[in-house]
Amino acid sequence: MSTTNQATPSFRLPAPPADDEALAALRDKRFLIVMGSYPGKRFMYERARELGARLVVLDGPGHWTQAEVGGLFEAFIEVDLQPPDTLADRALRAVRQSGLRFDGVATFEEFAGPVASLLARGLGLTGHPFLAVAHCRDKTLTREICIEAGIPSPRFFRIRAAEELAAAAAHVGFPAVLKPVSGASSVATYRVDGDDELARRYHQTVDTLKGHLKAADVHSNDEEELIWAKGFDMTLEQFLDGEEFDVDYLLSRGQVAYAGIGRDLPQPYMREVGSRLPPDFPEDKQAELIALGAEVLAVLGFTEGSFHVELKYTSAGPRLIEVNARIGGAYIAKLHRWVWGVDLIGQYLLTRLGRPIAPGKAPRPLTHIATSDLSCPHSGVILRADFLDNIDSPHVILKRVYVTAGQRVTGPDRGVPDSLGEIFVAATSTDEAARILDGLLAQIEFDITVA
Amino acid sequence: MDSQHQFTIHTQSVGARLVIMEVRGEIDATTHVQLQEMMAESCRRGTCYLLLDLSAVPFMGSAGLRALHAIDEMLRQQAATSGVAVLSEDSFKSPCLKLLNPHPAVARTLTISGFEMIFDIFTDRQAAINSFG
Repeated sequence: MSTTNQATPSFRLPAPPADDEALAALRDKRFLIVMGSYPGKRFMYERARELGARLVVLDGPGHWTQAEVGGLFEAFIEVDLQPPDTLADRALRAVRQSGLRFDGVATFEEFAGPVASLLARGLGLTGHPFLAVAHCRDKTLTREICIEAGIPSPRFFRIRAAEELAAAAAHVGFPAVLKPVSGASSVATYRVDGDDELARRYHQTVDTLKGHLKAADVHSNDEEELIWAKGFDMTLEQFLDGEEFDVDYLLSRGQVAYAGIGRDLPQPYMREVGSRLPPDFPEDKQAELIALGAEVLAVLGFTEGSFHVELKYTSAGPRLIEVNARIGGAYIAKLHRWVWGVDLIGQYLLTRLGRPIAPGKAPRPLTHIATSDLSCPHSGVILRADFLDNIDSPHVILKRVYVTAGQRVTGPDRGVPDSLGEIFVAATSTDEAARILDGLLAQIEFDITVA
Repeated sequence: MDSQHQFTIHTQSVGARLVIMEVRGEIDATTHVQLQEMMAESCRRGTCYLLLDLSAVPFMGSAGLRALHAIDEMLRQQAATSGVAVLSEDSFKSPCLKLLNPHPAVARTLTISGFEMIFDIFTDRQAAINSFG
């Protein structure tokens, strides 16, 4: 294999554009961060701090942000996320008891939408409409409101008990996608191609979890507790053909202030495995996707903030997968800053101050990026975690290892493969970035015992 | 038979301002209108408090949640017009609209969507009535 970094040895990632002057308004503003989410979002908080924002996290006991008070965070307000029916009231009391005054209420966490909305209202600050975030937290509610608004939508069926599996299959047909109505991060999301597989995946998910979830001391990094503690309702949706895209939006005063689109690689396990930004996809079809996502956000009632909308361009045109009322997960915010020069984090925080925004999207891409997850090839114990050490190229803008030597790992032979790491490559075109990335991926060797 | 034919609302007044509504059938994109219209009429007659009995409602989706939200707004406005103090500085729970015995499937929708943070849910009818003060 030739080394791909010989293609353009002088390649350098363009420096990020100077910060939008409007972002100076964030300096010394104190934000209540409702649920700190998983540690992978640390860079979002680091960026907010770079911009001068002061951050106070509200989350459950033992959340990772609690240990960072005095550094990344100014304070931590401890509120158990269970029981959920009293969460908003307990959170408001705890915020008041803290004696701190806030300029904005923000969140980067999927599950925080409803409580963040209520806290913003309770503190007299800008927040999403409660009805809008409530509809985002339940995937069947999102579908219902879209259908009422005349937006073409896939068939779906809410499965409330195993006895409804046959009715769900009859209504939706196969292939289909089974997922929690209140999920996140593609947890327990499966493509199913027949009745037997549907029953197997449903029971595998529900039966494994019953009785194994914490009832107290829950924080926002307890993903399974947050997904399932409210019941085991799942949805079966018609599988959509075509390619998948993510559109990240910034809304201001009810208008789209920014939309950036990325194409997802085919997902054999219904989990994101890589993307291309900007996408190598016809401009007119990209515009259709962006328009559909914007229409859905309007129907839901959103007017301000940052949103991550997943869509497919199917043989029948664009279709919605789901709406997340937050900035996209993982490193999506970095991608948009690298490619379009738009700082989703800073701009989102400005909207939380109630300010209108006008982010300056670069007239053409500043760079082109291809990313890839490093899926575990087979189950066993990974013996070395230095598999990216020798992957070196001026095109590599980010590489991360998510496992440690000696860790047991799962491959496709035992289930949904673990992510062992990820790698991002930048180049002067999306095609070139993808080509370089493929070359680098071919050089990576995993030392995993055979299970 | 469609959902509208199976949908009934039984109303009982408790005092001058409290109404108990027992709903039977699904609260969906068709039937929610009937519920909201009946509540609007009740508000015009002075109702400020509603106990909504959901024990015979097997399904409530987006339209039902929006109806609850709209009815709560109606009740609060009526309460304000009538000079009834309903604002609470300490709780997001509605002082005007409370729910009784939701079907488990409906209860899960209320929980997942966050609606249980804004509406008290009771299993005991008398306790629910007493909670209006």
